[in-house]
Amino acid sequence: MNESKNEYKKLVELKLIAIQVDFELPRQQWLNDPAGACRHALSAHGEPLRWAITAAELRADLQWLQLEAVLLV
Amino acid sequence: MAAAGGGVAGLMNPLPTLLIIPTGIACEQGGFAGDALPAARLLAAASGCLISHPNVLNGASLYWSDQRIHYVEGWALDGFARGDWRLSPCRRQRIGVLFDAAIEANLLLRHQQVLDAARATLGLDIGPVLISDGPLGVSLSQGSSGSSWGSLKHPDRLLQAGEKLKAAGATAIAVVARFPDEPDSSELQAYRCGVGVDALAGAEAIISHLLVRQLGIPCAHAPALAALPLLNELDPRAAAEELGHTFLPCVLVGLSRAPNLQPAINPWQSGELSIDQVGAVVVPAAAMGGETLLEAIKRCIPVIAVQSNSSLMNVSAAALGFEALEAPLWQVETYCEAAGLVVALREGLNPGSLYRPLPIANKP
Repeated sequence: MNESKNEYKKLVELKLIAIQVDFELPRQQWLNDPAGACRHALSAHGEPLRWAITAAELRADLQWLQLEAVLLV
Repeated sequence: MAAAGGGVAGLMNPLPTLLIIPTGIACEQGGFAGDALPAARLLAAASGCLISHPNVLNGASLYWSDQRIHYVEGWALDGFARGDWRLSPCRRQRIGVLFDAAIEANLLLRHQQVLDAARATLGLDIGPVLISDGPLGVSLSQGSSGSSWGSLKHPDRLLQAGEKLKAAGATAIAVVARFPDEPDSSELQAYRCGVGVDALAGAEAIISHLLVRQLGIPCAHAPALAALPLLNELDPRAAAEELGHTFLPCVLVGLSRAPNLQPAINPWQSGELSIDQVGAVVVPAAAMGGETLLEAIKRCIPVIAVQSNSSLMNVSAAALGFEALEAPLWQVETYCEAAGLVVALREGLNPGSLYRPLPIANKP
């Protein structure tokens, strides 16, 4: 019973926010796990619900990325 | 000889292939109303097993049912690519239907009649049917890239109704939300003339992603909108959305045999598909920034990038540094060429052998 009440509470408190973030990271780290790197960058702001890289650029040994995302908070 | 994807080579054996065309970024093919379906059908024939998502397969009143094509919602597709879920074939889904309380009576009746038509004419298993406790509050927006985004004011109402439908026996859920009518907007007029972004797509994705995340069953969305006035210059790619009063038929057909989502921790069952079996991913060459594609890159699944399917995005393999990887990545001009490569992979050919000039092999 307590469990289902908690679940209901979780649902009613759910909010969606849209954000844009950009960051850069070492190229090898990026290539080892590209999706994981993006999820990690977004997770500081909330739970990624929908996201995509909308701009990218190689800068010497760094990979620069811009992401747009809708997050659950 | 083992083919990419781990199966046995040859045209008797399918090569599971992912077709990704991101929604809401104005793709030349797949940016409108099911206008990537011909490419999907071609790739299904080439591969014998195509996994794709509603943006590719939904054509409002039009659809194509093919047992070689697996209809997988975008959130589920990402989970499949991460290896969190397998796809389990399903003969028949019981489709629960969730209507947004914001839909006015006449429009609701039109949609309810689609359910009756789908039962009477297609023999689909529809029900239970539910109206949300209050309006879902759909809003539309654009990201700074110009891509389509959107949100929900009351995600809680969506999820509570989804939980009720699942508890009442639904094994898949079609949701119909009232979307804002913007008949005079310049963006809508441009879209109808074949230019620009599908403004509805971003919010649609949010709705279906939320439900799949919460319920773990196949879900898909159709918007409820007032009918638009006739337009002589209507682009053929947008025409499927103007044939009728609803976009619901394609969603019901897609869900009716959508594969179940099996958590990877569950015991393996015969006939299931896992990401390890996928032998190729086909994606627009300048829209490579989605999660499914990035997971495929990590797993060294061969990627076929289609250059002619341009969009708002300029996120190419070069911009992402993927050209330095050893993972196979082919740039092709069209989906016809992509289909040829899929056949080559399925047959166990090295696609590099088909191109000229052919470099001299490295000698020891």
